[in-house]
Amino acid sequence: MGPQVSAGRILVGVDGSRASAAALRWAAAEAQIRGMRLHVVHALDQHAAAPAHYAPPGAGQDAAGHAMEVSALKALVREAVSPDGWPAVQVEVDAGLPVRVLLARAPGAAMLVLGSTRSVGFADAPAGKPRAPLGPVARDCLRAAPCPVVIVAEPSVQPEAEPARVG
Amino acid sequence: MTARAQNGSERRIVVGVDGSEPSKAALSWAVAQARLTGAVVEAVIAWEVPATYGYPVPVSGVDWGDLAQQVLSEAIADVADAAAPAKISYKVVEGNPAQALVEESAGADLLVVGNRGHGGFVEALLGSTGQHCVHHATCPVVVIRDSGAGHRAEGGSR
Repeated sequence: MGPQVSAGRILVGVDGSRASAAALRWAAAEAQIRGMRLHVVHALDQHAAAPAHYAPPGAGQDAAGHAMEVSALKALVREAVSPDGWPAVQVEVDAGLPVRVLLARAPGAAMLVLGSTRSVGFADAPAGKPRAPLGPVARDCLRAAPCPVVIVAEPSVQPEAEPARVG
Repeated sequence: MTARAQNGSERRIVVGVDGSEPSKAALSWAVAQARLTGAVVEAVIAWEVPATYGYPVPVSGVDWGDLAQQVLSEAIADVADAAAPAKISYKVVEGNPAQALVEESAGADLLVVGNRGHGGFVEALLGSTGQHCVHHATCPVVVIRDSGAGHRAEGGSR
């Protein structure tokens, strides 16, 4: 229950995947439409980033790696936001479980935007057929986020241009 | 079935309505969003004859389609009088709600659903309809939760 930003804020989680880049583009456009601040967050998950489960804790988590993450993230943001240059963008990298990092920032946000990766032919699957479940981050955010959650699909790979990857 | 958001044609925001509170919150969110983007809201309600597993239907004489339409227009009336008139079209579909929403939302800007509808237990993480939509829709899916009533986008009136 802290002070609330008067203009509102759109929170988007970015993990470097194509789906999250699509989510970022969507969120940037939405922020512009609504005149809201765009809050881009990337969680540095120590466990996911560690080279192996038996590596000493903190391996690969040096300051240089952190800085690289930030610059890569900023490049991604520039790409998503650039054309008209929406100025109200905040980029943040934080260490922690992605779900916790995102949910900690969700209160007061107008919405939380996440990408979802889909397997090939996903949209064509018949209804009721069990599919790979939503990623744990999106699933937990859908359960626990106090704000609307927007799931943006990974852009499809123009099927008309490339009918199949097989052969 | 690879319809992507087409900006050339009419922009649509599809919203699933079943009369539940989260679905009404979803409808009002969709209306607000449509006003911002100039899209048309397409409210969809789907109905199915309840499964009876071989027993005769105990409630014959009920016009489910009619009932669905009534639920939908009540929900729209609830939302519409709170807001400036937006372009809302509605559609009553016979069939599985999740499938209907995925089909209707092909080529739409957005699909908006409540986090749970009727028929889920309250503890459910996400209603089965919402879950199916999140997995299968080709457009972005917005999941609106009703709890914490009034937790709308603050600053939306800016």
